[in-house]
Amino acid sequence: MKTNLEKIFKSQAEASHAWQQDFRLAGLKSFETQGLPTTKQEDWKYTSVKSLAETEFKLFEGAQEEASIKEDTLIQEEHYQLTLVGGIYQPKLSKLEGLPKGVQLLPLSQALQSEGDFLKEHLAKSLDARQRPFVALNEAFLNEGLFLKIEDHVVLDKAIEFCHVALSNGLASMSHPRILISLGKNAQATFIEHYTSVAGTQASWTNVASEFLLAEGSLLHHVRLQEESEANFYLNSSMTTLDQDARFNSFTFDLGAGLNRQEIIASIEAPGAHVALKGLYLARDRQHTDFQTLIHHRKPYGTSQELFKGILSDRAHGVFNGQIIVDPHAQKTASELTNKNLMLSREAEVDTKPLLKIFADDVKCSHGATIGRLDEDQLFYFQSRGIDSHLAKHLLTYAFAAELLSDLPWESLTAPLTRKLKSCLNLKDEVA
Amino acid sequence: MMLEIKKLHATVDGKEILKGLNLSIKAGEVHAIMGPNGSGKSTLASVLSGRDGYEVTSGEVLFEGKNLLSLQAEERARAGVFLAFQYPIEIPGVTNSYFMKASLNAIRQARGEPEVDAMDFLNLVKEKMALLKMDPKFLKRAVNEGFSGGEKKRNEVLQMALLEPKLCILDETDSGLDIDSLKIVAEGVNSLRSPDRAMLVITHYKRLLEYIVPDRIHVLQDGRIIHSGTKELADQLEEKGYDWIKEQAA
Ligand SMILES: Nc1ncnc2c1ncn2[C@@H]1O[C@H](COP(=O)(O)OP(=O)(O)OP(=O)(O)O)[C@@H](O)[C@H]1O
Ligand SMILES: [Mg+2]
Repeated sequence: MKTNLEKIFKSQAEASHAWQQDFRLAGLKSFETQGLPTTKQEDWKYTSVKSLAETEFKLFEGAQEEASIKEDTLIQEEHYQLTLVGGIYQPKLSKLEGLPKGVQLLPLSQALQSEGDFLKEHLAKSLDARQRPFVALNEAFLNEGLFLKIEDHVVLDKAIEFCHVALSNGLASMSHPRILISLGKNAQATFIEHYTSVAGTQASWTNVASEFLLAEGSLLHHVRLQEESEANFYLNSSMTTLDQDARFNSFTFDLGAGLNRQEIIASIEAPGAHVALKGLYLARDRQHTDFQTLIHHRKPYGTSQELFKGILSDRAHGVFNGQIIVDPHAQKTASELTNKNLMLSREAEVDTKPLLKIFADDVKCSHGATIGRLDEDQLFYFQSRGIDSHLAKHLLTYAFAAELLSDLPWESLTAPLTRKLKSCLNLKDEVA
Repeated sequence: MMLEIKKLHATVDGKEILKGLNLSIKAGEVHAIMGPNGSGKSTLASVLSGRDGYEVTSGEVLFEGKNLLSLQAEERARAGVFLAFQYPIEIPGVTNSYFMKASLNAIRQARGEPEVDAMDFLNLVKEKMALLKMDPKFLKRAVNEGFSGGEKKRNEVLQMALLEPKLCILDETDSGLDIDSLKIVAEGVNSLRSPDRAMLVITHYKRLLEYIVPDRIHVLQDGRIIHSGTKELADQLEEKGYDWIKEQAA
């Protein structure tokens, strides 16, 4: 990967503003100084990027027949949509019209031209690339992604769906989408990220970096679905900062990619903010899925709830590293962190480490992790009623996961996501 | 013969629990098994229904003349063996309604009958629920989750009524039921009595057998049937306990 990086870097079209060119250069420098992470580093202990490092990636060029992509990739027709294919913005696959007043939703490439000042002020201000080589690399390739800015008190009527289709033609390709979302005071929005890929092509690599800035009293519902092909690499770092009484309600649903690594950080920077992080990861074959989450309570009266569940089969490997940090003056914090893993095969592995670092004394925090198998008594109960053990296993697995799909922000999301889960478990649709 | 158990020996975790058990039940008959705690009643029920962890070391079990022990648990259920559990299992996340429909269709399929659709199922299950005076709201709840002890037992009999098995094994279905419920559940069970169905009713109490009047009562002690008699045996046991039989058998 490293050999041709500079060449690819130079092949990028000139940035719109000088500061953007500097920004990219600084990113590249930072990446080069940091180097690729090794398993000697604590937070990369279980995740090797060797195969990623050994693949030669290039930036995707050219378009794909759009209609064929549209067919099976988009979740919901009625959302506002912004679609990238191979990292390139697709106006025909996007629906940006009809946005209410006070809402700016743009492909990042446009925002870099028209919203330069705002971006200069906010981009990369909360997500620090210094300890994150892949975020640095994302900066080096700053070009495309999504920009969403909602003015104070505006409540969006429909969800926004960001659809990223990974695609390689011939050579393996990489995409470095960048997302910046800024919600004004008391603004409300639902943001859906959907990562998918076109089957039957070369391995590709998606390397996302996101910043969600939530002003006082704002509310962001967030859903991320990652279902790229098992040949692909998927990396994501996202940082959410919450001002007073802001709420971040997030659900990450991870099914795809051979290597998935997501770092999800939420920082409570003023009193009374609330973070709910939910996640569901399914890994099979030799998939490797790694979640690094951090909820940082910097100010008092914050609440957070985190529940991640994993289902690991075959020879899959899961990693969950969840941290809650409560700073000394973040009194009256209430926080819960839970990770539960269901192991469907003897060869599957999981490494889970939920961790509380509490420096305040008047807080209510709890954490726990479980690693379990399907319950033999439950399986027998099914069988004793004539239901074969195969179906019984799928049903119990579904039951384990379904809890996470029960209170999604938009009812209309429940059905498609439930369908995804069922089809992953080879269950028919009518199963309840 | 519906069920023939011959010199059955079975172990759990290497420990022998059933020690040469013989029992035969004809179609149309109801047999009761009584016996002290730990004598092996539930073990027998588990062995018959094919639960893992029970090893049959010798003897045989014929169900309608065929070797029952070679079948998987689900195959036994499809062949018509039903166990109402002493401790019904909770299955969070799976609705009672889905569970019963999947079960009914699995069994219908095995019988060569077409699957029931959602509407037919609902009508059928509601009819059975009415029989057992169960609120339809139990359909939407997760299987046995948070059910009271008595509700769980009633739910077992509901499944039995729905699946119409050939051999019904009821393991202490009366325990946990209040007086009124016992009557309702017993009536439900009685409504299933038929010339081509057999029942094996495990209980500690005479009261159940006053409602579900058995053709035979057997006393199981230390893995063997040590005494059998007619329904009057229940009165004697209630009065005198098990010691006199143990002495007789010794
Ligand atoms: N997994 C096991 N390991 C060891 N012993 C076991 C195991 N399971 C059952 N047993 C023993 O087998 C014996 C028979 O148990 P079983 O449940 O069949 O009794 P029971 O007649 O149904 O009693 P009850 O009237 O209390 O329901 C008991 O002594 C019990 O402790
Ligand atoms: Mg018992």
